[in-house]
Amino acid sequence: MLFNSIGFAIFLPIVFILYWFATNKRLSLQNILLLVASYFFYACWDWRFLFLLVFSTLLDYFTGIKMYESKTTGTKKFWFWFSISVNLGFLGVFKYYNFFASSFADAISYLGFHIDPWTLKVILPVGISFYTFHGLSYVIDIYKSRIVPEKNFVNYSVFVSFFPLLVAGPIERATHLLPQIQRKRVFDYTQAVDGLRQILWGLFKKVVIADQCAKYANVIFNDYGDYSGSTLALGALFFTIQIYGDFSGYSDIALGTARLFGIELLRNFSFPYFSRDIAEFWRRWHISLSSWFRDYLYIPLGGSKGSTWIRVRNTFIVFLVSGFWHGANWTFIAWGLLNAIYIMPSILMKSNRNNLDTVAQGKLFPSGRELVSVLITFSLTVFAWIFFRSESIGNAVDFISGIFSKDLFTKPAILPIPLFLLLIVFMVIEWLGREQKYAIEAFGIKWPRLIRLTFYYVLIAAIFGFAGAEQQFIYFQF
Amino acid sequence: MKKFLKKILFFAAPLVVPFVICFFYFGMNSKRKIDNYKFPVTVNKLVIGDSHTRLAINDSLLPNTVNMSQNSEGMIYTYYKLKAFIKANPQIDTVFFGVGYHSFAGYYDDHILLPDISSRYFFVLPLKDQLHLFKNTKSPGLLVLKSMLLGLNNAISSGTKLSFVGAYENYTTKAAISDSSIAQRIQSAYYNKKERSGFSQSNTQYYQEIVKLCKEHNIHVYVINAPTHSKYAKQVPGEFRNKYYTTINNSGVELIEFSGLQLEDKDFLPDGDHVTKNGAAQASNYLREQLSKSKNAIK
Repeated sequence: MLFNSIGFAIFLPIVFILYWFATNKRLSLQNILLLVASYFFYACWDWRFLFLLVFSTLLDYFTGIKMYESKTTGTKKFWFWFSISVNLGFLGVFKYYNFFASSFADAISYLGFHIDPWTLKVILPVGISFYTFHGLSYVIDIYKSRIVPEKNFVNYSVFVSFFPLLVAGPIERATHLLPQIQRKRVFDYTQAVDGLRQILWGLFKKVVIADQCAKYANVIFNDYGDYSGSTLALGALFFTIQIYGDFSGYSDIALGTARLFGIELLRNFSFPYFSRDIAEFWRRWHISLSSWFRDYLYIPLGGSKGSTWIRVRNTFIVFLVSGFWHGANWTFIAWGLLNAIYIMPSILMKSNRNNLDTVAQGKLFPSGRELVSVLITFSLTVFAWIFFRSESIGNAVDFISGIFSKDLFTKPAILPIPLFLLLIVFMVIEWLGREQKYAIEAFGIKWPRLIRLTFYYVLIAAIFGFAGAEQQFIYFQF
Repeated sequence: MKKFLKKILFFAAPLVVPFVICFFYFGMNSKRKIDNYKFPVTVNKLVIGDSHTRLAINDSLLPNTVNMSQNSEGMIYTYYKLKAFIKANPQIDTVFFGVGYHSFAGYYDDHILLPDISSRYFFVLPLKDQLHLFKNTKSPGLLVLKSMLLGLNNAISSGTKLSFVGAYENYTTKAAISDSSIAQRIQSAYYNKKERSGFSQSNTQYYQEIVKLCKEHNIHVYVINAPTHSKYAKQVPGEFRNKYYTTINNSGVELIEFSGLQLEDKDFLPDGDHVTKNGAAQASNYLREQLSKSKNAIK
């Protein structure tokens, strides 16, 4: 079930009403409802993979308890590595097996041997990277004695499977989400209204911005050989906006939906395209994943402590693994590598924490220096996304050479003026709201009620007007 | 919670209430207009079909005839249109039914679900077809929105300006026919990427329904295969030709083709299966001559 589907528009109010009216007397009933609703939500995609989700949940639930009850360090270690191995094993089989098999065959062929790798004909279970990372963080936190295991299986299952975050995050932490599941939720009017507003903005970003950009990005990327450099550059720009609208839109809908149930999820985006350097970009893009890698990979590897070499090594490892997390393709690894190279100057000069505040904080316009920094960072990001979007490294290289070799300064063959105007309006709203949690959190809040409501009605009309086929969210494939 | 629900209701009301009222009003209005769509009493012949007959048959050159063809009109929509027109105009005794090789191509099954096309007819369809459309279209929101806009248009318009009514279209273009433009059209009509596309289930079904409807009302049906360029006709895959002739022969209706008509390249649009204004004039005169020779010569 997609957030931008009629099915979800029916599903959500039903669960909401049952949650606050039929099960509100008992917390356990509310959690059972959330679990049933979450499993139903997941089963709508493919019920067969529900068993995998339940198995993964059971695995981490029991190993968590076993680790906690272990009398010896050896037993604790055993259960820890058992859980890690099985979790990563599943991820490896479903997501990476074919990639490794074909890459191995390719490597062997360079040596003159030919093998026909046995590949799996399985579809990637939606959300597997997300719920596996939920489970991993839980197990690691218990192993490191940061938390105690959750004894209530329903509570733990809701933590793993809560439907707003189940298929594309945010990647939650037990320390943040479990306490909210364990305690009674009270309906908060302001939180619910804010949640609806965030859902509205998320839908707008997905249906109006991302899906419209996708139309042009897909055409240009699919037939990049036919287009001039200027059109290819535009294609890369469209994809840059598309992936932001798509994923941050999904996250906004997820966060807003959770708020309707009195639950606050981790923030996932914070206006990343207004970043002044790559380090800032990565503090603002897919925050729950970046912080996951920081806490469970970068810091255990030594983090920024130690010699320059250690810092460089750790940074490269994190970005390569992050790229690989996104998908079993060399393009994602190249994308990760490129970002590691981008961030290297600030790591070496220890300036990666220079821009911790918001650009032009408290001001309407940025300074010239800030503007240039933002534009440079944005351009680097656009360039990196070409690898992310391309089918293969070869395609990405051809696409980039196409940009710089063929008529870069001519009029693009595809020039959708109405979409440009729409994107300008969108970016202005995003800019004005960049100090909030999401762009329209406080946008127009001081306007007369009628004008503010009209603004929301316009957003709703645009969502309906632009609604095409229910486009899957890009991050579902990860 | 009560405050929240109340606010939601108040927020939604200005959207939902006028929407519901307009939806029902436009629905009833469009139904009323199609049910009462009267032709002059002298008109006893209708031309129905898609863009091929819309561009090819100039009804001003044929006696007592009105061309009601509409671009990209799937036969399901033609069926409901015709049903209403026959009921409101009992003098109709002849129907020229535009059916080309492309009419049975699979792309039509997707085509009829496109909001741009289906929204023209949404309000004049029976409820079961409306629901089917809503369920199967790739963009239900857009379908409703476009249907509402066209419903508004229908409420303030009449005659051929109504969304579901078609007419002869006088079409000229400076673009010339070429091998590549014909190949492009062949590709889009009969192939799905490199695979040959299947047959249209909907058009196959509603072709029979239209013929049956006409027979029930003692209306004589002529199937018209609008003129196509010889290069286009040669490239139509054999399966589609076979399907075409088998379906028409089995239905027992008279087929009028334009094989005896010699049109020049300039009489065609670039795609090779639509004619220009000049081509339409020649095709319409040719049709008139053929009819006068027909054993069922019409009056």
